[in-house]
Amino acid sequence: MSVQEKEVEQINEVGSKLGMQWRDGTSAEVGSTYRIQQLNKLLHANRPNLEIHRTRCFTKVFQETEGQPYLRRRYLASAETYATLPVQIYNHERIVGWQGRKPRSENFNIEIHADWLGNEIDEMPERRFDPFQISPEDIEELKTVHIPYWKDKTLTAVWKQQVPNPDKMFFCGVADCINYLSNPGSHFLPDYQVLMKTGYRGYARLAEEYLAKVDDNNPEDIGKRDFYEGIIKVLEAVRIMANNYAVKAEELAVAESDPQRKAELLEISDVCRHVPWNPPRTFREAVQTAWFTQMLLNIEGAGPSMSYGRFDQYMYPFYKRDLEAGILTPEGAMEYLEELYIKTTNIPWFQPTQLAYYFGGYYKFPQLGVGGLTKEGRDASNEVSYLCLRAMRHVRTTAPSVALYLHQKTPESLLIEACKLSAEGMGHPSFFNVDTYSKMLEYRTGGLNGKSPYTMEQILEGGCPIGCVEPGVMGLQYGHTDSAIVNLGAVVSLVMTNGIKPAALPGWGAGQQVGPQTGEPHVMETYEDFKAAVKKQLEYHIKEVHAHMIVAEKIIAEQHQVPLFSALSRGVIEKGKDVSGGSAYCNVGPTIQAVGLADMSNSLAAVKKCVYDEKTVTMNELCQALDANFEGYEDLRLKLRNAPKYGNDDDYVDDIAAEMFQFFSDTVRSLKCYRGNYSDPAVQMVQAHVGFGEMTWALPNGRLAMKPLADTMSAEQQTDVYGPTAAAKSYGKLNFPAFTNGTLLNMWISRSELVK
Amino acid sequence: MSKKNQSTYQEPEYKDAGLRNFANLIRTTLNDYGVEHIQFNTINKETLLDAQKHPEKYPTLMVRVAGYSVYFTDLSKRVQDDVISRTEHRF
Repeated sequence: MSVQEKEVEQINEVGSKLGMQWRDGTSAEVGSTYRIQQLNKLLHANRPNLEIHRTRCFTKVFQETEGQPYLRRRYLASAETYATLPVQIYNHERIVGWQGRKPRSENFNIEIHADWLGNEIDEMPERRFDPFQISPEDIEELKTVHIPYWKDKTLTAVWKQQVPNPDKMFFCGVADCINYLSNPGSHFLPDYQVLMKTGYRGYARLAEEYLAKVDDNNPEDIGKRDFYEGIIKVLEAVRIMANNYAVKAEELAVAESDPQRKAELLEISDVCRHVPWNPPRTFREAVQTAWFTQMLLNIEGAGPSMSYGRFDQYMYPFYKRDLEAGILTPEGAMEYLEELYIKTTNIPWFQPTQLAYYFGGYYKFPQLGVGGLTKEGRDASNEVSYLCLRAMRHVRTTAPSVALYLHQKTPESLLIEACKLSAEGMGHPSFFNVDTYSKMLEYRTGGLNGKSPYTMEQILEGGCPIGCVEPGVMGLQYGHTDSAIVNLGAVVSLVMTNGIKPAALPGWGAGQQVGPQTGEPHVMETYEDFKAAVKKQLEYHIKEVHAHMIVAEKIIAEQHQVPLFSALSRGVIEKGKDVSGGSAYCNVGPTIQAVGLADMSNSLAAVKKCVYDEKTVTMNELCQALDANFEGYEDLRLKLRNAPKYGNDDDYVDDIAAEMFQFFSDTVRSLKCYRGNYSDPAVQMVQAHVGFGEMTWALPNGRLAMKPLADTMSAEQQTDVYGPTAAAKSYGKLNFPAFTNGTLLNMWISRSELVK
Repeated sequence: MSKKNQSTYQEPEYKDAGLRNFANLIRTTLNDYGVEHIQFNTINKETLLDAQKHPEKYPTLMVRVAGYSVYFTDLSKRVQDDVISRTEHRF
């Protein structure tokens, strides 16, 4: 067995399939009350499973409407899905709503997944990464009815017919856009500020008002009648869905013998008759409104990162009113929050094995944030901010990703509250810098010389990160913010081989010319020549993946309309066009993410130091050593490892990191997208550094072939040796606002520093 | 619910100086150096190594991979190793 085969073998030792066997319902029985403990147990007693309700509705409606406009068919299919959604209420629940017939269901998008699903469906319950349970009958129905109907109509299938190098974009390991193709309908901050004031009813009334104004003699109004009639049906379907829950709760109440539970069921019925159609009257109804919205968006879109946004801001008025009215206590509010966290964790992310390997663990990246500033520029925190952080300490769920939006005026007590949550060791919360993401928002989508359409007041009022770190504004932004990956490690590797992918690597194009010929390294006389080759190689791959993505963007605009995303975007109903086609206030993406920033910077620094400045290694020796994956070149590798490393406040390498960071940003921000906006760069690709590392050969920083790259913005593993402040100073030299789609930084602080 | 209605949560005993250092590190990284986002793993390395050997003892141990929290035992060995290989900082 070769070294590479052993590496691959090792990958298969563990994974989520085994993880769930260790974790049964009992061990997860945590929470601030008995109710929460039981609901947490219920969550973990259920394995992620596939629900085919949406699939059935989509196949049925599409077969009945062959030849009709795509938007009309999709809106009708969505309405059918919501109005007939299976209804399930379990004991102890007060916030109701499940995506499918049981907890942890994914009511997945057949029109996205049908092209690959046939290959994996038989082993779906047993696959190594993110297995999903599904009954043999449902597998059979998918194989005989739905997959055959949809497999040539999916986004990926249609796109493959229109682009030059589809397989390269999926399997080469240099630049890829599989996440974009697999996840339209994603990365969204609903307009909760308005929704909590008007309910879904408000959007339906607005659509009726504009439907009455459609002028059939105006060419610009073609298609608007479909949009308005469709969106009214979809909103009405949401009302029916909630009403079905009310009816179910009443039925259960009749049969219930415990008087306390009976009363709770009748309360559920009352709540669901009122929201989300009407504006919420209480804190509890506001939580229910947020949950129904989150749940439905996750059925409608295929992708991740539907986020709650500035939750403490739009929830506080309800909290304050209920407290004053004596119908709520802080503990009671926290219990509702814990229930919301359990429900949010319930939603799994469904993706092909290849993506499950990068983004494993079913996590769907919902973010819930607290703190920040008011639109007047004052500290915005309130009592709900504290409760949101504290609830996570009790309930201990993976989702949502709780975040603190920090600025100079954030009270020390709120920061300490967040630090205490951090000390729990769960990875919660994320800490964000309001000033920096606000600057990113100022320039987002504007290209090299422009600005975003956002005003500072809009940014202060509704600005916050989506998903993991991407800046957005609630209700004003639509588009995929996690679209392509460019592997900076592989880019350096291709410079060393004049554009040929090393033959021993897995994936598409091994041994072939996959990048431009940037010249034989030994003829590069100066470090500047070498750096220019790296930039040329990098620019090529950024542009190639962008060219592939904008074709997908056009197909999404034509065939993947999303009615609820449209309704919950401010100003879109007025325009009468679906957000997928560019009617949002600010259209974003497809975006381009860098992975391996530290590897590229450290490689350039090592070449500069060892080959050009000190001449302790020749370029030919370096190329031979890389070719051999450093076997027999241990001394040479040691010289490279001893070159300056990013993350230690050393300008020698930090200047290189800052320059390459800026170059990446400028290249991406010069690219125009189909809907008229410019692309945005990010460094955020979660655990892609491991998967992409497997497809990256040995590098001049001394990293061995197929080992993980450095994660996100962070220093290379074990190379930041001068402590956390020196690391932070290195990071601080980069021009963060230029990374208009966000940056992600991990740091590890020993628990024994924080807790006795 | 007549059942015992107490939280399962037990607040640990904090090191006050450690918490203050931690808060200052966050302030410095974000407010002074302008970094957009930071997140932390705060698990002891020995715990993670033990969890690799005895996963059955750590069914709900969570870590931050990047941008999201996940149960450690759900991760592939490659990703587990990567999390463990990062630099564990002390003040």
